[in-house]
Amino acid sequence: MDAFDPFRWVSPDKYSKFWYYFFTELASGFWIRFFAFITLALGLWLLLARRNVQGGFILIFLSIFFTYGLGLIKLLMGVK
Amino acid sequence: MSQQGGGTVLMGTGVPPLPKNIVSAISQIQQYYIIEKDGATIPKDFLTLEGVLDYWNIGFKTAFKNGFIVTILAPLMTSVFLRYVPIFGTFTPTLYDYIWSVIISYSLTIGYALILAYVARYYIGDITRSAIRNLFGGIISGTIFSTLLIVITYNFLYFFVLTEPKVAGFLMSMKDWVSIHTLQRWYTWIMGVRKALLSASVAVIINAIILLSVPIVFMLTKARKVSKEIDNREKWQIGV
Repeated sequence: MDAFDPFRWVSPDKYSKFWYYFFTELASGFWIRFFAFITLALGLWLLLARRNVQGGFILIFLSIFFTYGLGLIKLLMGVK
Repeated sequence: MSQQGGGTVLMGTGVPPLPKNIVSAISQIQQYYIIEKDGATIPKDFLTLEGVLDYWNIGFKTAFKNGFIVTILAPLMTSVFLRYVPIFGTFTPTLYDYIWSVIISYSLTIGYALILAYVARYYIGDITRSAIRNLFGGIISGTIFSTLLIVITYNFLYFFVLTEPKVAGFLMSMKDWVSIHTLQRWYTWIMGVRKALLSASVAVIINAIILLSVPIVFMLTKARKVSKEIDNREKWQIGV
């Protein structure tokens, strides 16, 4: 199980810095809005233009997750 | 064997495979349309009772699944407007965020409505029309049923479950494990979301109107156009 411990490969400081960076920079502001927009646009395009229902719905759900899910995780983790 | 120009299409002795989901149902409708568009006829009994019921079932399930997703997305949208739920991780949304919460809540419905609108333009010929009628019948029933269920549930939660004394009593039962300050915050939040449920029930009704009206409008406009084209083509063929 040691192999699955992230601290074995990355220092705890670097690891926690990455996740704080992820939630404070990538999971908010411009980038999260950009990802949500792109996934919804691609999802609707797959659904309507390519008639790929499964692919379309997966991307739409991903967009919903970017919109509400990451904010909720952030809230639960107590990241401001 | 098929014969164009008003002939009868012999489809073999086998019963057509029953559609499993909305995509296979649409694909079959497209096949019926291609056959009937050129004036060929499919025997009326080709679509068996089981086939007819299957189209209805697929329509009902599709509408019901959409209703279930809207059950979650509608209160989220109204809670964003009341600032009780974070959007993109913030409780202070910008104008873009407000518009986005509306778009994302109705995106699945608009997607479904446009798929159905795409099918609606095939509304010609006996079998094609029967298949579309039953698919739409299921969708209309499923939408009305799920909308009623959601609206009743939200109002039941508002008036009977999430009442001030009940919520306060429930939260007070946790006072030994959670601080009073945290319980007060939770109480304010639950009461805010409770308010959002009332607005969400209106949002769900709007969702149903979108899901039902878009394909019907397409059916009335596009199908009429295709019928006219077919009439013109027949007149032109007679003239030649």
